[in-house]
Parts: sequence; C-alpha cells; structure tokens
Amino acid sequence: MSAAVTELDDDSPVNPGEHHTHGPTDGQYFKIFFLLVGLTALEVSTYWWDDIFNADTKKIAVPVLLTLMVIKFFLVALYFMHLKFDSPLLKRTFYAGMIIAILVYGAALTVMNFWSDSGTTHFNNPPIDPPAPFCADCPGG
Amino acid sequence: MAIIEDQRPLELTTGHEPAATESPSPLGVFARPKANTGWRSWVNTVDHKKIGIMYGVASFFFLLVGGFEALLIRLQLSVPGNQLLSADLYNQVFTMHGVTMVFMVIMPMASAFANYLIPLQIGARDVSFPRMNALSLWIWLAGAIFFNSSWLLGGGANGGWFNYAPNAGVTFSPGTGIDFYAIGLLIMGIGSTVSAVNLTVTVLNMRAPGMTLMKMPVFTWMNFVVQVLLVFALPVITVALLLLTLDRMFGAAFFDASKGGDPFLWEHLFWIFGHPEVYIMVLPAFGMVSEIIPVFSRKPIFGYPFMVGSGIAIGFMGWGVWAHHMFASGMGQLSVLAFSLSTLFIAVPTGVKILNWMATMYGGRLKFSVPMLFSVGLVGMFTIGGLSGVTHAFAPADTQQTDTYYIVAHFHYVLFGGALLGMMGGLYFWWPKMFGHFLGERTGKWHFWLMLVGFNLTFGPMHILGLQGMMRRTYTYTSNQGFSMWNMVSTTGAFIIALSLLVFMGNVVFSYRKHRKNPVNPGADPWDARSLEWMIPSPAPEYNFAEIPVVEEFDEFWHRKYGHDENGRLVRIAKTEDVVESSDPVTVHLPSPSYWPLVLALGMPLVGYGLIFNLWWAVPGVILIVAGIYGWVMEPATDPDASHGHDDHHGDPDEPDAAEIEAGESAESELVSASAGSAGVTADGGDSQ
Amino acid sequence: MSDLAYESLEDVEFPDDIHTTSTGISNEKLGMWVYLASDCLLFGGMISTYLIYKNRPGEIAGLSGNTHKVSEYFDIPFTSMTSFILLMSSLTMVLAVNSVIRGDLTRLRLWLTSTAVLGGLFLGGQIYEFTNFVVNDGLGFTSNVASSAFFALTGLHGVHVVVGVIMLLSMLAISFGTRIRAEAVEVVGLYWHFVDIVWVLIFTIVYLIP
Ligand code: HEM
Ligand SMILES: [Cu+2]
Repeated sequence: MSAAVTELDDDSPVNPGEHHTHGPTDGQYFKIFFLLVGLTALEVSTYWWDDIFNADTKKIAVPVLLTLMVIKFFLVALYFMHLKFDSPLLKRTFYAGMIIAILVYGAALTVMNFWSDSGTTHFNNPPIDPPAPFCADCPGG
Repeated sequence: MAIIEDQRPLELTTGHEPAATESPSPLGVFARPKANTGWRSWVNTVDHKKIGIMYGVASFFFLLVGGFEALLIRLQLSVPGNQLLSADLYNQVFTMHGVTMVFMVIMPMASAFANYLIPLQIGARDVSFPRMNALSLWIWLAGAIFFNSSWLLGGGANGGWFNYAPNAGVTFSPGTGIDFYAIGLLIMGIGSTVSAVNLTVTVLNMRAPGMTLMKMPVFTWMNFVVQVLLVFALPVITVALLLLTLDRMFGAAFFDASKGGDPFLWEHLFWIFGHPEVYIMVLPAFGMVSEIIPVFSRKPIFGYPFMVGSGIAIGFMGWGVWAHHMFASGMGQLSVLAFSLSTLFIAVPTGVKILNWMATMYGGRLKFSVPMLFSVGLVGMFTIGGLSGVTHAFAPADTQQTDTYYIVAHFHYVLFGGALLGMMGGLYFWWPKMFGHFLGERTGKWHFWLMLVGFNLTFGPMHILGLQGMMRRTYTYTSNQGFSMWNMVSTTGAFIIALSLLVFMGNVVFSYRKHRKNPVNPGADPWDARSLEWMIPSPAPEYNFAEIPVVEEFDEFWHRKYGHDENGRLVRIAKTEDVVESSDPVTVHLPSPSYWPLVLALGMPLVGYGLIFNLWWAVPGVILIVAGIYGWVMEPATDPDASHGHDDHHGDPDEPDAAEIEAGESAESELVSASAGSAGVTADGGDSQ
Repeated sequence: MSDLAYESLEDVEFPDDIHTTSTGISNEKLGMWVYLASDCLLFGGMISTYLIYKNRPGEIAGLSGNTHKVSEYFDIPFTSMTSFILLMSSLTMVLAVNSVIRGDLTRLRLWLTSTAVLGGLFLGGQIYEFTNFVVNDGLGFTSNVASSAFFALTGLHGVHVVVGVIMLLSMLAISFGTRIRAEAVEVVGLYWHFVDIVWVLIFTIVYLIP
C-alpha cells in the first residue's frame, strides 16, 4: 500500500490530451505483440507435452499455464490498455474489481469444495443410501 | 401527487432562453428537445435534480404498493387459521413485498437523494453523464413496472426475495412469476449499473476546486461507497439471474440437482450480492443522518475520518460475510466458523458509527426538529437491529433463529428502523431545498411518533414470535401454537405505520397548499447548516451554482459563516445572506434535454415480455433499443442554442483534438453503447434462440 | 487501509477550469474503467460457474444428460488460431489509437477496419466451433451442466465481442463524419482489449487446463 501512495504523490494530474505523448510507440507495440505471440505459442505447446516428453506433465503444465496467463494478462492491461502510463486511479479501479473478483469467487469455490472436487455428481459426498425403514410394516417404509 | 405537480419551484429562474426560440437545426429529428416547462420538461430532462425528484416520487409510489402488500400479509397473519389469502397467494404477496421494498423503494429512494444531493454537495453543475443519468432512471422504472405487471399477467413471483433454488426452477415454479423476477431484476440491474458508474465518476471527477475526497460531506462519502459497492455487486447477481433465466427458459440445469446442477451456486451468488446489498440499502441513510445530527447538535460530526473510514470498512468487509445467510445449509463446519467470525467483525465498524453519532450529540445544543427526531430514531432502532444481527452471527444460535420471525425482526429493524427512518428524516431535512417550502413541523412530529410506535409494535413482537419458533413464509398458524396475541399486536402496528404514511402524505399536500397560498421562501439556509448545498437558493436553481465555489475546508459553508474569536470561542463571522449565492449566472453551459434515454429504456420491458411470452414482442423492443442508441449517438452533443454565451469551440473538424474534453457529452455515447452492450447480454441475449 | 489510500489523493491539485475534471482523467475514460472493473465480476462469476460444473457431465443415467465433457471435444489447434486472431486484433487496435493521436485518419480507418475484421473472424471461428460441437459431437447447450456452463461463458464473451465490433464500426463511421476525438477511439480500445484479456483467461482456464 505504501508503495502505491508514494507512487501517487508524484503523479500530478495530467492534462487531458497530453498524456498520450508518453504511450508506447508503434514499434514498442509490435515488440509486445511478438512477446505475446511467443507466450501463446508456449502455452499451446503444453497441449502436446504429454506426447513429447512421454510422461504425465500435468503437474508442471498447469502452473506454467497459469503463470503465462498472468503475464499475458498484465502485458495487455499495462501496455495495450495504457494502465502503466495513465493515472494510478485507473489502475486502482481496475485492480479493485479484479481483486474482489478473485477473493470472493475464490472463497466461494472453496466453500463449494472445488479444490478437492472428486468430479462426482454427488459433490464429493458418497451417494446417499435410501433411509432405513423407520418401522418394518409402515406403508412405503 | 403534489410532488409531481409542484414544478414551479424548479422552473428556470434565469440562465436560459425562452423555450420559444426557434432555431433551424441541420439534423432535424435529432435536434435536442427544448421544452422546459410542463410534463415534457420532466420526460426529456437530464437535470440531476429533476431526475432525483422523479426517483423519489416513483419510489414513494412503490412504497405504497409494497406497503399495501405488507398490510395483506399482516391481515392474513392477524388471527390463526386465517383464509384471507391462499397459501399460493400468500407466497406471491410476501415475495412481491420483499422485492418491491428492496429494489423499488429503498434503493431508488436512496438514488433520489444521491442524484439530487451529490452534485450539490461536491459543488458541481450536474453529474458526469447527464443523459446516462436519465437513462438509468427510465430503465429502472421500466423494469419496476415490468416486474409489477406480473400481477396482471399470471401472478407474481413466489420464491421469496432470495428466490432459492431449486424451488425457483420450472419444476417447482412452473408459472411465469419467477421469470418476471429474473428479467425484471436484470432490467433494473442494468439501470443501477449505469447509474452506479455515473455517480462513481461524478464523485471522483466533478468536485469543485479544493473539494478533496477528505473534505466531502459524509453523505456524499457514504453514497460513494454505495455506488462502488453497486458497481461490484450488481454483476454478481446478474450472473445468477442469467443462469436462472437460462435454466427456466432455455432448458439448462444449473440449479437443478437432479440433472447434475447445484442449487448451492444460486445461494452463493445471491448472497455474495445480497450482503453488500444490505449495506447498499443502509449506508445512504447513514450518510443522511451524519448530515442531520451535526446540524441539529450545532457541532461538527465527531471523528470525521472514522466516520468515513468505517463506511469504507463496512463496504469492504461486507464482501466477506455472505455465507452467514447459509449457516443451516450444510456447507461444512470450517466455512461456518470462518463466516461466523467475519460476521462478528463487521459489527465493529457499524458500532463505530453509532458511537460517533452519539458523540456528536454529546454536549451539543440539541434541537429536536423532525429531521433530528428521525435521525435519533434511526440511531436507536438500528442499534437494536445490529444487536440482533450479532446474535445470529453465532452459528449455533442462528440455527435456532434462521428462517423464523426473529430474522424478520432483525432485518426490519435495520432496514425500516435504519434505512427508511433515515430517509424520512432526509425528506424533512432537504424538502425546503428541493421544493422551496418546509414540511409541517407539527404534522411531522405526528408522523414520526406514529411511525416509531407503529414500527416497534409491528416488528418488536416478531423477536418473541421467532424465538417461540414461528417460521417465516408460512401462510398461517394454528391457535394452539401460542402465536396469536403477538401476531395481533404486530398487525395493529402495521396499520399504525400505514396511518403514519397517510399523515406524511397529508403533510406534503397541506404544506404545499399553504405554501401556494402564502409563499414564504425558507431561504438558502433554513437550518443553519454546514455543507455546500445550503449555499444556493432554495429551491435549487437549474444551474446549481452560479459560480462554482472554491473549497478550503470540510464543512466549507459553515466555516464561511462561523469562525473563532481570540479566546477560541465560536463566533459568527458573516451573515448568512452575505455568504449564500445570489448572483445570476452569466455563462452557464447546461446539458440539453433528450428523449432518447426514454426511448431506449422503453424497449427493455418489451424484450422481457418477448422472452416470457412470445418472441415477437421482443421485435419492437429491440427496434426501440437500437433506435434509442442511434438517436443518442446522432443527436448533437450539446445544443448550441441552449447554451448561454459559452459556445462549443471546435477547431478544424478533421483535426482530432484530444485535448478538448467538454464537460460530458460527446464520447458518452461510446460508453453507453458499452453499457448497452451488457444490456444486450442480459435483456436480449437470448433472442437468437 | 483503504481510507489511507484515498487520503493521499488530497495532494491532487485541482485545475481551475471547470471544463477539466478533478482527477485529470476524462469522464469517459474513468467511466469505462469503472465499467470494466465491474465486468471483472461478471466474467469471474461465469468462469467460476464453468469451473464448478466442468467435470460433472451426467453420471446418473437417463437423468443428467450426455455423459461427455465439453473438454473432450476441444480442438486446441483451432482455438489457438482464433485466440491468435483476437490477440492480433489487440495489436491493430493500439495501432489505431496511435494513428488517431497522430491525426492520421487514413491509418486510423485502416486499423479500425482490420480490428473489426479480426473480431469478425474470431466470431466466425466461435460459430464454427459451436456448430461443430452440436452437429458432430452431439453436445448442445442443454446436453449437460458442463456444456451449458461452457456455452454460457463463451457465449457471453461472444456477445461482448459483437458489441465491440459494433462499436469499432461506429467509430469507423464517425471517422468519416465531421470530427472524431482521439479519446473516443481510446475508450473503445479499452473495451476491446478487455474483451481480449478475458479471452486470455478463458483460453487458459477453460481450454488449456484440462
Ligand atoms: C451489525 C451488523 C449485522 C450483523 C452481524 C448481521 C447478521 C446477520 C445474519 C447472521 C443474518 C442471517 C440470519 C439467518 O438467515 O439465519 C442476517 C440476515 C439479514 N440481515 Fe443482517 N446483520 C447485520 C446488519 C444488517 C444490516 C445493516 C442490514 C440491512 C440494512 C441487514 C439486513 C439483513 C437482512 C435483509 C437479512 C435477512 C435476509 C433474508 O434471510 O431474507 N443486516 N443478518
Ligand atoms: Cu448478511
């Protein structure tokens, strides 16, 4: 938090219209784009890892994929969407939404046993046996 | 209604050409409308004050609708074994009551105040996006009427305001009531989203010079928190409602356990929205009380940073407690424990507020005018509701209380005793600013005491009933259950509340008549108040501030009136008349009216009917929406004729000029197509099917 | 914590001209960002829904529908192509913004058109993918909860893309009219990039992680 505060202090409001001057140039955009393409290629390659390495690569592939996803996300947000160059208020606004989304839905998924999901239709619970008859000769018991 | 007819005070006093000036417009139909008198001036207005008043009138109308439903509920329950309402009708009545009160009374009434007051309190001439402001009003109203039209079209929703799955699925609720619930709330949600974005940007961007965030009045602050909460909470219920619509109309099974779906998902999504929602409902009233109490205690608000901070804290923590509504759902011990703890913590910032109000009153020169009475009423009643809230934060206790009348007592103490009492106080307080005359003081006192007594008689006994085991949402009970006496008391109380509302309406009518016969202007500052809205004439002129004030301190207006002498005693340094604004504006540039928001909004319920009954209905709806957007984009940004000496100054038309940011309008169209984008998703996304 | 952060905003100077805003950010841009922040929770909810249901194709014979997951039928090479197309449209979008800042209307039109075309291609790919699921794999919207959640999520994203394409085309039309403001293009661009980053998430979370 304190970092954000100091960052803010030297950011006097830009004059609307002037702040465009310090956005990336076309050349820089191309560089970022090629970086993104490379990362995407890497991502897609995980699909064949199992075959290439002849092993179950899921344990490695998933963290790699998630990392790449985050990097791509921020490359687009910070550069293409100018978050890096614009007023910090915009960054905060967007991050607020993101963080609330991650925390809240993360918690909800946890409560719904998502991380330990066994994939059964019974949501991790063993199928319920029909209740034992309350008394032997009750109708329908 | 007197409120609507009373336009005279809002008529333009100065600053505008007469309506008759004809100007040849190159764009024909897209010229901005000019009427600024008569009903047209209300239909096409983009003035935040008129929009606020319309929100107020409409929400009061729905208060009467919801109140009528409440009386039906209470009549049904007044005696055991009553057959006034059938079980099915009872379900519909309490559901419609709840949804109406939450989404069509408390929220829009708060919007009324927010719209009217935020620009005034931050020293702005209007909101950031005036046309979008009109749009959100009309969309909300269209959705509200759509929702209530279900009474005539096959029966209202009957799943409770939280509309739990799987009961809400087609299997158990085959009628169309719940479809109206889903689509009605989606439509209203679009309106609220538009308005929340608009007001968030307004607070951030439209402040007068020197009005830093920490100099904003507490009312504006609390509403700012509310708007931010809305921005983040509405999409959550939008997801839930979308899934519900897909389930009910397009054959999905998201909430149908028999087909692999999970009813829990609805509960989670609803309450992730639902708990922030309860603070969305109560914080505006907290803000009003925080304005009223200092004025009638003649002391500044105690602990302003804490007041603001606790509001933010409530808003923030409100995201982490939702599952306290699901303690009995079997979600697992760890979850119950975690949410029980977080719920206990959230009572702390709430308590801070209560202590701060009391500390503000402590040692003040108290004057118990009607607004103050309502505010003190809020402090007391809300405390009771907050305390019962804490009792069901403890999960073991809550498993006894949940779904009983004890819960009903809790949330009525916080919502009626908190939100509604506060807003009633707000009405008495800001009435002179809005309409240029006072509401009757004596009648107002009758109103207050009747309401307070009726309220406690209605909801107090519900604590007892709940602990005795009376379940909510059950249409009747038997005489040997021992519930009869308190239910009778409660019903009596409900009618006393109804009487108090009649008194209020009488007050509105009679004070208006009195004012017409013998107009006495209350002056800019009838209460010797503190914030900027009291600096401008009453009723507030169309342009708000003739000259945008430069703010130096919190409670700026007060500090212009009072200072300290050499002994540190409070003294008057200027006469009120000298401080308030009197000059006429010369170059005020106001946004021109527009019909397109209304056109756009009218399309939405048609799409809704189309989805429910016959897709052909959606066709005119979509046409209206498209026409609305098209007209919106095409109409000239600001009508040059309506401006006053301050014309737009565009350079070479072909030269893009990023530096030219006019206050508000041009690119607004883009933004609206973005939000209309989500409109498309929710309202007519299913068209293709 | 949060109020501390806001307090620091006090340092912000206020321009005297009432035509500029208190924060220096234009209303339109701030509004768009607030809306995008809100959209985070919309897509967050839809993605969570998919996550919860993705492994629950019908197990109860006869009741819960088709027993295949959607993910069994993903055509990763094809979807990689469409993802690449969307990524490329982000590039053309920033180039459009840079052109309008330079005042280069011809390039602006070129890049806007290519962005819209790429968006259209993406949509075409999505339609192709959907038809493929339905026709060849027999997996429609109502087949089971997993497929419902998949179609709902990607469909919602698709609707966002449609809206984006319409906005791009409107910008194009406006650029032939009297005047166009650089900022308007930029704000549309923000929306477009957001749709792109949501796809970055969906592509990884839904398609690549099995
Ligand atoms: C002091 C802080 C508060 C605490 C600790 C608290 C706690 C709770 C809990 C645990 C429940 C669930 C009870 C159950 O269903 O078994 C509940 C219900 C409810 N609360 Fe609160 N609450 C607080 C303040 C508020 C406020 C300020 C409002 C609204 C303005 C509110 C509105 C509601 C509503 C509407 C329900 C019932 C929802 C329903 O079941 O229909 N509460 N509260
Ligand atoms: Cu709650």
